[in-house]
Amino acid sequence: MTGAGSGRGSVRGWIADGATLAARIALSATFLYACWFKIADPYEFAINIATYQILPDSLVNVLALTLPWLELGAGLLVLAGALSRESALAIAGMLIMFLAAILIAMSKDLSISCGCFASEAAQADIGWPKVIEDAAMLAGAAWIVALGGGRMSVDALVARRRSRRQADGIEQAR
Amino acid sequence: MLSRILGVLGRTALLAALCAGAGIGYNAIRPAGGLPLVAQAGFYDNKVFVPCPEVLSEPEPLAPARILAWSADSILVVDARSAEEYAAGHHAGAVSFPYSALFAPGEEEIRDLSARAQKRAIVVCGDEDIGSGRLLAAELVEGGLPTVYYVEGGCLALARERK
Repeated sequence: MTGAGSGRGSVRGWIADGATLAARIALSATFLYACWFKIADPYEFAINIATYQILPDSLVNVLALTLPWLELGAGLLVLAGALSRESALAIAGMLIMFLAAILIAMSKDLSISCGCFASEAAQADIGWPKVIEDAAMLAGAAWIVALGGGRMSVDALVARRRSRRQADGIEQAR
Repeated sequence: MLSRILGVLGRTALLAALCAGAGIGYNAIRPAGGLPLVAQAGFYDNKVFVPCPEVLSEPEPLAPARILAWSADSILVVDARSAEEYAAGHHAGAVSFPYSALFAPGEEEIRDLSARAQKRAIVVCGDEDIGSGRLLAAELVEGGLPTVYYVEGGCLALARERK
């Protein structure tokens, strides 16, 4: 799980680790901020989902109740760098879903806000800037899926301990 | 390599399932009452979407501080918010006149309001998000009332200024 640290000690390795950490912080900050109002007011979020007119009404509430918790779980894990690849993959999946929803709504000429964040000021209307923003985050998530959480992550810490324990075991066996 | 990819996919699915379970579990014990898993009525069944009404007469906006500077017996404050919002708290002496974009106030309602105002100026406060204060004030001006203003920032701004 520590692929980003593969160039250990090299400048490239440090740059990759820095980029991974930046991507983790940016993704977790976005998703943790986004999930807050959705958990607090699922009805409002359900209406936001319904305005996209993609899902049948019978599925809207289920998505409104479960999606924010996945945002919360994945956001916390990616911040800590625990199960980095898995949490980044979950985030990538959500971003692909958001991108598809935005593009479908744009193709229908719907003039709606994205329903992404809590405050009115943070609400952006759907459009190409939102698509670019989500695509940039998707690239960040894909980077973490490919390279792992980097050296400054719980995954790397666990891997280091495991390899030290294995080395100790080999030493004792000798 | 394949087993590693499958492992990541499996753990991701498990993470999604656990989070979904947490969401549904929290909804079941939510103190304010949870959301039904399946919507009881369609999201658009009970809603009628209408274009915002066109404002033909533009009434004058007033800052809350200016309104509070006036003597209470020189103005009649008209609360354009819903009856529930009015019941939850309103400006002292304000009369409730819920504004609806679907139903413009009738001549009789405007006459009644004019009779209640006597010679006082009418100051309408409403819900700033939907601009109900401005819209109702415009309807009253159109209805022939001579001195009608609306509160900038709505009823909440007036209440905040009063504190």
